[in-house]
Amino acid sequence: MRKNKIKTPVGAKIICVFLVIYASAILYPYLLALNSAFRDWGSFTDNIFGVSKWTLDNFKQVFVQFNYPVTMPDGTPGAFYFDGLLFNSALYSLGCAAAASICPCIVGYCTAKFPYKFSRFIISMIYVLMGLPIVGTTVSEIQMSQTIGIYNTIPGMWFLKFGFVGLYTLLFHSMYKSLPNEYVEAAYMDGAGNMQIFTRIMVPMGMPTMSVVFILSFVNFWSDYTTPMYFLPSYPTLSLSLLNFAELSSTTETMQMAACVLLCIPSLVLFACFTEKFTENLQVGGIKG
Amino acid sequence: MKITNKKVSTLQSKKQKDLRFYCLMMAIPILQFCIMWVGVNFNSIILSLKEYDIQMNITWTFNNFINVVKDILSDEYLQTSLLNSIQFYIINFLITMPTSLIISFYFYKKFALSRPLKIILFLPSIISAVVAITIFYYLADRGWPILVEMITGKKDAMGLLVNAETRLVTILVYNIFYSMASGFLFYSSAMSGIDESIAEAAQVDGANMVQEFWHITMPMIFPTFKTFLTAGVATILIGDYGMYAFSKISGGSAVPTMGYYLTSGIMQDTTQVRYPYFAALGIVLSILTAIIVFTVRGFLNRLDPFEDMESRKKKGKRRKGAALTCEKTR
Repeated sequence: MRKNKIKTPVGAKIICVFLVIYASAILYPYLLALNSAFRDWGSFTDNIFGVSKWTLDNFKQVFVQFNYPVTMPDGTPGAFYFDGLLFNSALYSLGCAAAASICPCIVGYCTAKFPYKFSRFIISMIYVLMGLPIVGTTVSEIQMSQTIGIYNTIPGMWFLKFGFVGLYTLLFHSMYKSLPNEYVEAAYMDGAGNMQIFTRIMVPMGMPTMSVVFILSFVNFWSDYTTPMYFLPSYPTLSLSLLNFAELSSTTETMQMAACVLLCIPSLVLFACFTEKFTENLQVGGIKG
Repeated sequence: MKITNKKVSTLQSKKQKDLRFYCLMMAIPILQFCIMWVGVNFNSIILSLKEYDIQMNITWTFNNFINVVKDILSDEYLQTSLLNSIQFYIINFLITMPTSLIISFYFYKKFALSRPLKIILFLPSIISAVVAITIFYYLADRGWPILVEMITGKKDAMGLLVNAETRLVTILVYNIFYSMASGFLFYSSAMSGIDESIAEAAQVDGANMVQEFWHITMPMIFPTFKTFLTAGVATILIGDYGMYAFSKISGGSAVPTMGYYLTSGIMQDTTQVRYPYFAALGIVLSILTAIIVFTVRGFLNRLDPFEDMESRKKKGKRRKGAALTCEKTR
């Protein structure tokens, strides 16, 4: 049987052409950067738009030359090379992403399953605070982090990001609220304590949401250069050091492109693995599990 | 009687255990909130009332606020930064908002190539801004002169960022180009929540795509639109627009914006002597932003088709959902 085909309106065809051009314009610079990252410096300077034989020299150079001079917390001068920067980035992004997912999960669960007045107050407060346009508190944050001793430490940044005022808490709250209480009651009858119920039943049930929040947070923190710039002067990340890479006299543009490619790899791998989660899962009722 | 007492004591014990667990779990998040939200904002107010001398001795004063107001009224660089931020926001908004809505509607209706296009358009949201700016800088400063030479034969064309005359427009184009792609996700997510039967009923009644978009889709996603717009307008005075990264990567080719003004100011002030000034500037900008945000919100509330509907409770849920979709922008 032949299926009735809905005719595509002319307007949609025009938009399609525009979108194809726009998507190509988005892709082209990334592909050009990828191509440049694999080209040797000589052929690149002849024609930056050209194509030549690929080489891994730029990547090798990045591993050797990509560095960020710092003053260590004890006052001694030092420098982080690619491996050190990668380590800092991984530690910062993974820890902050974990903090940014665990805290909203805990607060979301507690406020949803323990209907104290305080829980209602917390949820109302989040709505109010999110509507307040407070700007320019960076200097105060720097001072406060110095006062409490978390400044210039990566675990300190995890604490900085262990906040619950944000949309993710509301997301976890609504998700746990929608789960029936029977699970909790059944586990309690079987002798499970609150901690066991939370860690063995509720966290696994919230894992799809948790994974989406974690991935989105990780990508954000991996690309973030402002927090390390303000709060981690002795522990720069890859993203931050790329900003200063151009200032190094030995840096060539092809090396910079190679560094860009390396910086993109984790985000792109996650994107490739979880494309659905990135592009489809944010729905009006929240993130679908 | 014994059984009842046992039940009562079991219940009491459960309540106590629940409370203990609740306190234990909430302790660190509440502590973090008290320090990093309440403490930071309180400190911001205290800091704005301080003045440091070279020996870092403190004097309590309102001078920072007076200086901020004076600078806003007379300092040309600060005024340019402020005006650039507003200008960038308005132009960006006027171009990207309608484009994002149209692109979202295209994806919502699942027209040709929707899926691959959606994936490509999502790329700028996951690739670091530093990477995007680095690549854009080379295209604009190294690629552009070569392109001009290839097309016109002229050999003396300047890079678009190094040339002060084209710098502002080039950075604006960069921002429009990349923000156009980021907005579609919120709107298309909101559109996917619309009941299909409504659109189908409209089509049966003879509505074309434009009518469906204007009379059904737009009113239905208005809460998302409102949330997105309100969240965006909160950055009107402090938007950075990648300017700090542009200036670092290109070695100084930046157009001052308020975000750039604050970031570069804080980074240069290693002694923290000017921190009280920046704290006062932050408070003044917050007050101005609050006025703008609440005015815009009030205006949008008047336009909101759901505002007068009886189902206010449902609207609360929709707003929350709309707010959730907005997380992508950050």
